[in-house]
Amino acid sequence: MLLQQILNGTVSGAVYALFALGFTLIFGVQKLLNLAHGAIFMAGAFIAYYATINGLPFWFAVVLAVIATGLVSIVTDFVAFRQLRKQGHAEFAAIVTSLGVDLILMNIAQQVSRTQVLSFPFGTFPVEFYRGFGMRISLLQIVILVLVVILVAALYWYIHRTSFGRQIRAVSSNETTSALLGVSSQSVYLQTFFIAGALAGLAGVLIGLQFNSIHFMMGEPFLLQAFVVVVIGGLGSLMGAVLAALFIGIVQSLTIAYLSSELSIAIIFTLLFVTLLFFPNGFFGKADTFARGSRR
Amino acid sequence: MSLRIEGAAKHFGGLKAVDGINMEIPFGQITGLIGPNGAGKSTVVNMISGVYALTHGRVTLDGTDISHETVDQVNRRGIARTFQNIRLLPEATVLDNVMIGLFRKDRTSLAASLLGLPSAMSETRRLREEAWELLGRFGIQQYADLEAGGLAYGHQRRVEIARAIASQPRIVMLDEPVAGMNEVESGEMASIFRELAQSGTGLLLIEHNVAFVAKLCDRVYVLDSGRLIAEGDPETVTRDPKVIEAYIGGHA
Amino acid sequence: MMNFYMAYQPIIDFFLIAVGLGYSQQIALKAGVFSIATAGFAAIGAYTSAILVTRYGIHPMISVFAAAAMGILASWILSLPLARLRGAFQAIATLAFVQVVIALLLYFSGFTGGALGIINIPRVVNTGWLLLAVGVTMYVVWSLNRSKVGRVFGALREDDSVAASLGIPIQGYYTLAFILSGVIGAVFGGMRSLYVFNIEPVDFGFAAMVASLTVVVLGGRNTLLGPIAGALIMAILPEIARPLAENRGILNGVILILVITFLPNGVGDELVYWLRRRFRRPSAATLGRTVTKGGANVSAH
Repeated sequence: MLLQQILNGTVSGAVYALFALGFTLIFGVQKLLNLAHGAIFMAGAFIAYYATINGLPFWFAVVLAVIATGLVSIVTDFVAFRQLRKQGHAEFAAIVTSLGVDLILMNIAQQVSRTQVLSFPFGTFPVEFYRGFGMRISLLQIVILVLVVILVAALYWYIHRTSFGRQIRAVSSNETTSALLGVSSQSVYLQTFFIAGALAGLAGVLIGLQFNSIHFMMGEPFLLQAFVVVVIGGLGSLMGAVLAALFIGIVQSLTIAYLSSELSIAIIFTLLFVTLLFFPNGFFGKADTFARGSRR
Repeated sequence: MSLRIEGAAKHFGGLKAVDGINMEIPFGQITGLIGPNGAGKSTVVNMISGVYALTHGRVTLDGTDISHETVDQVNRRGIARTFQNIRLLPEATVLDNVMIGLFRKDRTSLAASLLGLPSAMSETRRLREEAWELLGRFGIQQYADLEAGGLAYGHQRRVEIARAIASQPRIVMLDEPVAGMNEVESGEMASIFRELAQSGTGLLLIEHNVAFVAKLCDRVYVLDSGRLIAEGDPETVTRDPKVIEAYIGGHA
Repeated sequence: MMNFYMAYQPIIDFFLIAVGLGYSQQIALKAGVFSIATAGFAAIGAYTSAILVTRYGIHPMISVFAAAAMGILASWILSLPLARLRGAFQAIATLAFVQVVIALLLYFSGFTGGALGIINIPRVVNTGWLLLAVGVTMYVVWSLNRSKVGRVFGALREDDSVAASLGIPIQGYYTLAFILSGVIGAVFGGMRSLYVFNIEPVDFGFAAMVASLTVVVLGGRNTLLGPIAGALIMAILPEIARPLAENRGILNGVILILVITFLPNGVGDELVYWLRRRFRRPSAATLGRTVTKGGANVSAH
């Protein structure tokens, strides 16, 4: 029972990681919070759903959803962040504009789905289970775990071993300097937002499959969860986000199983407060979250 | 009757920005701190004003150790400052910028401020009046109602200095106060600084402009690579071969 | 006039509640605190009032004061972690606070009615009471705008490290801004519950948070007119264009993006600034002085 819960928690945590990675990546580069990330995640599930029921093969629906959400994310950057980058003082403004994009996407989805809860047709993904060590694991869970491991490894490689990674790090430390060094910040923003959106879209599809429920507000709890994940992991830290996502997934699974789902939410957000109070930079972050008035 | 810095050091990781210096800034005098770019002059200001924690040593005001106090506590002890890269409240008017500098003299109680009691409103009028006088002293009354961020560089400097001295501090640290000003303007500033010193304020003048410092200061400290390489009256110091070398070496 | 009031009374009442919650949101932003906790304070106030009135038969007036006290308590506790954080992290923390409040309202269902909330709350609040509450709030905001607290909040918003360098105890003033936000939010939450007959946790969720934020972003973060202008536009827009009501989300979203990008001070604030530039007497005239030095003794302007 306990091991089973930990396994389930790990799988959920792996999906949270996909979601949180994009969120923290954008923060790392821009120092801005993208509140539309939850709606982009939701859009991934919606696109895959409508592609599937319109007769497209499932694998193609997934690819389509991932690419489309990557593009939606780029559009979000254009609409919500591009103007603000020129103005400075964007921290608060970006919260507002990205919230605006969030509302627009949710409203569109609400109209399209007529506020219904949707689910993938039976058999979209084979329902198979395997047993061992007293645990039960579904094919879907295995696929999720493998997929997340591959994607996290690929992202890690992309950011730490390629020239794009160096550009990201240059732009995130100082846009003016990086422009002087010949790094095109535009291309970095485009790539960052595409990757972030695509990861969120994929997470949306996986969650839609796993819980067999797709609705226009499904992104909201994940966005809130992502806050907890990135604060604990340290905003802007990729490794921190992955580890914190797994941790939160397991905590959530255990608290829901042994306590209650409402209490689980309260416990997880209390964790966020405690982290903010005592470790304001998270456990893996270097970001300067604070220090006002006191000596440093 | 002075601000003293004793064995003060500030290390950033391996970098020793300031490495064990002793200084004294007496009230009623103008003390100069000069040195080439990157010598650690602004770091000294930040150590005194409470921005940086000291790695070693201490800062005392009239014998009281203030090295662990926060920025606002240090200011309330009567130690004011300006910033090397001018920091005004850009969207507030010039008059409002100086009024906020009068915070320490603002005796409005919380209840009066929230309930709009007559005492709060009359205090606001009194401070406006005082800020206005101060603008007159700096010759910038005609800009009182403009957004501070839109002023010319030299005028922004004046607003910032007016704001720093508004609450009549005992020590003022001026970080490059005449940078970007012409002869006439810096001459006007010099006479304001002399008046301040005569009224009993201690000034620490951080400058790049050696001539300006030599003309004005009672005593000068020379910082190079985080260490004091000379101190004394301006004449002796500016003739010191170590100082000349630091300056020429620093610029080469 | 009377006919107008009769026809639009519910809209007017909800407008007044939105204005009140708008001031709660505005006062935090005015001091540079990125709090979006107003919905959480409103929830605390609403449940305090509703529970005291329905379950313990407490007089509604007293219940609103109790709501205010709870608002002060909650905001003070929340200010402890918040005062240590910067910008975006304050937004995250306050967002989390709202989630915790809602989760707890759902969990302690024996006390709070869970997802169904509290029903059969007597409607004792009317337009008059709401006007009174908005009036008092406006008076307090007006006074502080014109005195010490307002000056300090302005300095905190523009540059808190400069404020500290001028001797302002910034943590204390951040806490003050947050407590004011909490007490105003809780009072209007309490009055709302005594108006709408029943309350549920979802009334105070994401949508409520967005609503208060929209009012202030649209109207303005600084002037007294801000929340009024914002709430007025949000009340009128769906009335003049019925099809928009269905797409409220899109409408809100587009407004938020356009206003913050192209009119970052908000409609109300911009209007006030424009009027001030046009009609305000220069300081010299206000103080009855002439400009000396540099200005060669001519009056300013």
